[in-house]
Formats: sequence, structure tokens, C-alpha cells
Amino acid sequence: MAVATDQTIPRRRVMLVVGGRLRGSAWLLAPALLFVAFAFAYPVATILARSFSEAPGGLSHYQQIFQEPAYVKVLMNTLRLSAIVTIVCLALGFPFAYAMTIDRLWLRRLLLLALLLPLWTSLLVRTYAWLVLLDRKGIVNEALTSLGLIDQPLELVHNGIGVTIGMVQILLPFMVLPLYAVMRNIDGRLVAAARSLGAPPVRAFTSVYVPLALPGIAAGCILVFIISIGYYITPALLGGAKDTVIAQLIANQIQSLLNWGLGAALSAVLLVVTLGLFLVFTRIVRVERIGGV
Amino acid sequence: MQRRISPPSAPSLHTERALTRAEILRRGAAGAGLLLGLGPVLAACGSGSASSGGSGSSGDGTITFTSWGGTTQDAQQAAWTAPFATTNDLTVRQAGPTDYGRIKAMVQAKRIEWDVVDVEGDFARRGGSQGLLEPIDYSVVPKADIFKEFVSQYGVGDFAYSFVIAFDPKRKGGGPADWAEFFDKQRFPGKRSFYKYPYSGIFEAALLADGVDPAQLYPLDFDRAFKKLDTIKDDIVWWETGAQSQQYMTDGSVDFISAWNGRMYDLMTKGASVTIEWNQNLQTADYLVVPEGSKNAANAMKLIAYALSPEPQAKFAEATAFAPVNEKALALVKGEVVKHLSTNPENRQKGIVIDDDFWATARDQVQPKWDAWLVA
Repeated sequence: MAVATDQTIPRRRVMLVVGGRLRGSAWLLAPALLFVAFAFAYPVATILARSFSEAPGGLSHYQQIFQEPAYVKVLMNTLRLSAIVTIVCLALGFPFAYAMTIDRLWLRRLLLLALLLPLWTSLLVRTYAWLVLLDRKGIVNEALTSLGLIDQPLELVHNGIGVTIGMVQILLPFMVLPLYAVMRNIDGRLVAAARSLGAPPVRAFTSVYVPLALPGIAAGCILVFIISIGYYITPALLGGAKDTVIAQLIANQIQSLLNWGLGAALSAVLLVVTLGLFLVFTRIVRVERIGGV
Repeated sequence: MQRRISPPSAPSLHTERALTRAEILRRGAAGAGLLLGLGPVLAACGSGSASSGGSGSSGDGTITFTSWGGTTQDAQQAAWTAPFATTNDLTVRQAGPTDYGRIKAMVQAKRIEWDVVDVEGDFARRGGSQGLLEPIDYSVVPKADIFKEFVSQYGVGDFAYSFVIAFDPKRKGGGPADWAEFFDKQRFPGKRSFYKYPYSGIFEAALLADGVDPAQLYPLDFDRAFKKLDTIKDDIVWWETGAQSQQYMTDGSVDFISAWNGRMYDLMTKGASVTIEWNQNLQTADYLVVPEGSKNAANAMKLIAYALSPEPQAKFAEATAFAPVNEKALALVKGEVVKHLSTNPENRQKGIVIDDDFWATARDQVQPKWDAWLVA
């Protein structure tokens, strides 16, 4: 009658605070926290301070961001691109992760290798490789032309299509791996049980499997979305001016225009949006379920 | 409410028992080994694309020369910094690429890592008015022989060049002979490429294409220029580095380009199918500046003076087709490359000089409009 895990019982958490005092083992966190504080918190705080202190000061840079239509458009570009990339990654990643749970070791290993090998290749090399593939005189266009399928080259780069393709390929592992981590713990017998109780295959899938995979879906989506909104190189190289994302704007302001107040303000906006989204998602899906436990 | 059913025979994926000490030690050793292996990799990544890492200028005879990289900087090293180093028994380090944000950061932190920096004309003025640059010491640098338009308080021209029209001569239908044709989508359909900055001759080109007389060009009518640019906007692919402009031409990604003449000349010498149209070339120059607070300022001025003297100027011009700013050097340049110098009489006559003084103040005003126009 033993039940392995019962999610109605409150889970044991590693308690940092016991009886109102900091537990001894909490101090083990100190070196890591110090490192994060020094290497991350302090520089970020300095930049955020600059957004208020650089001339003309106060909230003027933030006003500029929300009043100039160009900057609002760039922010919308960024969010829209990230949303599209997340959805496409989910559409491609879900079947991929499901295939990895099939009980054939060679298949799993093959799929894992296919996923990880590009991940270990330099980001710049991968982005440039997409340029070689998708450009006007690139491999895809040349192949389609010589097969007689098109007579004008397709415009696959320097626009939203190129950026989306490139970013989906680069971010797919970040969707597949959390999904797989959750999916491999889903007991396949549950779907079989649903079928045996009379549910049609689609119903069994949507009402049994998908809810169990939801933590993985949410984790993958958050990860891909948050990484996409900060992305720089791929939109810069594969996109056109109309697809400018906020990271390019920040780089331009800080490096070439020397307008550090505006650059810092844009960074602050990006940070707030990211944190806000993260909070929203943690309300929808309780974070401790992401590990799949 | 869901309860996970685990049948008795199901293999459990998580065996629940405490880790033994042996396991902790083994895993710890593996982790440490991994970190040690990753350490050098991460350090290499951390040093980033710039080769300018390392200690700042120390006033000990090591000068750091910074430029834009690629073929241009190689030629600057060969013609200027290397001979200067040997004749003066100093060391000159190469760094780059030029990054105005870094100059500002260096000056504010009072840690100057770059002593001589090759910058664009408008920064030579902007940077000076923002207090980021040392005034050029014209008692050391020979002002008299330099073309007057390239001499300013905080920077002095080191080589002149033009934004020229370039295209593949073998393409069907030929290429544009002036800016009006460059903007003509009916006669010349295809992709165009411009340098992605307002200070690139792009407004001048648009106004000339719209029929403005070169003598009436300044002050620039930005609204009129934006309207003209809108007519070809969908066909524009932007380049951001010299190497990228060269890559676009060799890959055939674009049909016509407005590029730095020296970079296109470099492609021609390497056998690429590229031709340059000098008609209505837009003339400007790069400048050498010294960041404010450099401990090597005295030696930096000597390096600048050397780079601007006739023989090194001629040698650089021969290698790159970037023109000398020193009038005496023009006569010393030999070979085919003379035709490709922006400051030779024929090209100067066909060309229009970009007004750096106008741009020193106009840039900040047009920048927001430019940003808005780019993404619209």
C-alpha cells in the first residue's frame, strides 16, 4: 500500500531557517552568494544607477524610451520575436523530447547527440553558417533554383524569417532538455490506463500526458523566452533593420553613441520585463515542480 | 488530484539512499576535474573578441595603437607602427577594434589602455568636445603639409578615403554611374547596401540622387533625404564592418554597395569581380586621436607625426588605396593604385567632401530620427 510520492503531502523542503535561526548548512551558500554579489549584483546595480544619474538625469531616459515610437517598436519586436521563437521551439521540441523517451537506447543517444553537438559549437559559427545556407546565393537558394522549383531567390535572411530560423535552431536544446527531464518521469502506464478506461487516444494524451508534462513545458518556455529577449548576435547578423531587438539598441547606445544613460535605462527595462515574466510564470506553475520530482 | 501509481515491479528511477562518502569524493573529484578543464576555455571566451586585453599603457615605451582591424590595420602596422618601433627603439602593440564606448570608459576610469586610436571624423570632434581626447601637439605633428580639412584640434587625419559605388562588372545590366542611378529601382533592380550609420554619406547620397546641387548640399535637408531613402528602403541590406562590406560583395548577397574605396580595392587585388565608380564619391578621412590622460602621450604624438610623414603615407597608400593626407606624399605613390586614391586630382574633382564640422553637431540631432527611421 506504499505510495512512492504523494503530492498531497507537503513536500519536505531543505529548511534554511529552523526555529527562527539560520541553520548551519546555510552558510555553505556563502561563497556562491559572494561570487554572485560581486560578479553580477554589483555591476548590474551600477548600470541601473547610471540610468538615473547620467545627464540629464532623473527619469528623463525612461521618458525617452516610452515616448519615442522607435524604442517602443523595438521592444515590441523583441517580445514578438521571442514569443514566436518559443512557440516554434515548443512545436518542434515536444515531439523531439517525446521521441527521446522511447525505450530504445540507441535512439535516445542519437537524438541527444544531434541536440548537443550544435550546442557545443560556437554561437557565432552557427549564426554565420545560417547565413551561408539561407543567403541569396546560399546553398538553399542554389539548390532550389537548380531543381527548377524557383526562379527568383527566396529572401530568407536579413528579415524575420532568418532570425527565427537561426534562433529556433540555437535555442531548441533549452526547450528539449527540460521537457525530456520531466517526460522521462511520466509513467507510461497512466496513458495506457486511461485508454483502458475508454478514452480515445487524443483524449488520453491531452488529459493525462500533457498535464503531467506541463512543468516541463513551462520550464522550457520560460527558459527559451528569457534567453530570446536578451539575444544579440543572431538578430544582428540574420535580421534586417526592421527586426532590431533591444539588445542591439543597447549595444549601439553604449558602444557607439556613448549615451550610457539611455543604454542603462534600456537595460533596466529589459531586466524588469524579464523578472516580471519570470514571476508571472512562477505563479502559474509552482517552481518546485520543474525538477519533475 | 493525481497520484502516481507505481506497480511493484516498476524499476524506480530514483533510488533513495544517502550518498556514501566514497561517492561524494568521486563526484567531487570529477567536478573539480571538469572545472579545471573548463577554466582555460572560459578564460579564452572571457577575453572576448578584442585582442586588446592586458595591462594599460604604462609609460614605459610601449605604445598601444588601435584601429579597425582587418586588412587596413595590417597595412597600418606594416607601413607605420612597425618601422616607427624599430627606428625609435620602442614597442608598439596592436589592439582593436576601435570602440568609442571603451574610450569613454577608459577616460572615466582613468585607466588608459589605448594611446593612439584611429577613429572616424565626427568622433574626432565629438570626443574632443566631450573631454575624452588630448589636443594634438602640432609642434611635433607637421600641420603645414596636411590637407586643411583634415586638421582639427583633437584629431588629425591619417588617411583619406571615399564612400564609392561598387558592383560586379559582370552582372547583367551593368551598374549605376551616379547616386541618382543607385536609387533608381526601375533601371537597377536589386539589393543595395549602405554603412549602417548616419555619418556614412548616406544622406549626402540621397540628396544628390534627389537632384540637389553639390554646392548647396550643406546644411543637409534631412527630411528630404529620408523621403528619398524611403523609395529604396526595402531593398537595403546594412553593413556594419569593413569586412562585412567585402563579404557581401564576394558572396553576391547584394547587387550594389556604398563602401569604403580601400576595402573594395582590396577585393579587386585579390581577384574578386568588383568595380568602383568614382563619380560623386563622398570624401572623408579617418583621424588619429589620443585619449585624454594617456601616459604615453609624448610618444603617441611622435608616432602620429611619423605616420603622417611622406614615405609612410605613400607606403600605406600603395598597400591599401587609402589616400595620403600629406600633400607631399601624393607624388611618392607609385603604380596602379594612384588611380584609386581619393585625394588624387581626378577623384577629388569628381568627389564631394563630407563636411565634418557640420556633422560634429548634426549627428546628435539626427540620431533619434535615424533610429526611428531604421526600425519603422
